[in-house]
Amino acid sequence: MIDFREKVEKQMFDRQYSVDDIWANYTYFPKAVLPVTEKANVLLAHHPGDPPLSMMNGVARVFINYAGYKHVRPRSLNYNYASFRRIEAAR
Amino acid sequence: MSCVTSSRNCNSGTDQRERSHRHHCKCRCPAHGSKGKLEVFDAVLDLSRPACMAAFFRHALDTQRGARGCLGRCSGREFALKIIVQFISLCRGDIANLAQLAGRLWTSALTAARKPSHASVPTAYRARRIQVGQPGRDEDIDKFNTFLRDCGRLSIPTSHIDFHPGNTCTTKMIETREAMRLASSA
Repeated sequence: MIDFREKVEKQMFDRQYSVDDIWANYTYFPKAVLPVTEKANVLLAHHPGDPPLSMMNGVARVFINYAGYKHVRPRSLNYNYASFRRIEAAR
Repeated sequence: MSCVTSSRNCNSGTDQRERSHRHHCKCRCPAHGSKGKLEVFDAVLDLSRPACMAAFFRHALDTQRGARGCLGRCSGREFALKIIVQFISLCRGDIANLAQLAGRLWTSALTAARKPSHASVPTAYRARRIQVGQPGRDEDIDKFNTFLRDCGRLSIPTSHIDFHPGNTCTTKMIETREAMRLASSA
């Protein structure tokens, strides 16, 4: 981990993205996609954040633990999440 | 009995088929002398390796027809198939490519197996403009929605998203022989 932080990690974008930024972006995405998935009868799977680091290359990572996935609920997005129920294991 | 074929480590379709059969298959096979019945065949298809796909579909079709090859001795009626379809790329996920892939997968393999139990599309959709909220993300969302509608039309049951833009594993893209763009390790 120390080697990664010192030798590999770099800021990928012009600024850092916090947890709130990522959540805001994430919330925007499924709201636009889920109606289409339900109509098309396609299930969406979600790739977990691997490796489970809270910050990587200047970007916060939110799907790294149970709390992150728990945050993705119908109540939090004000949407029926029946079509969004599969979580793919990290490869 | 379970006959598991993973295409990840194979370089040759023929080798894969023979190795899989030799090591795992319990069907009646005069060539290899094994006994028993092949009941379940789990296949992990790597669409980036056409040889593996070709071997798999030859296997499926041979099994269905029972016409040639040692695997043709397996009873198609007792042959169940679980497929995990990998690497259906979204970058080139237009309806023509999907139709081609679906035709190869669904028509050949699932018709041969008759008992598809699971299918998924593990290659995730990752668009940086969506993930970090940059201008133009609506275009990427429309692209993904089009892909989802095409999946629905082709009876592809699942799709897959990715939301960790800072991952160093997705910094390069490579072209495969299937003319698909796949994320590769940096």
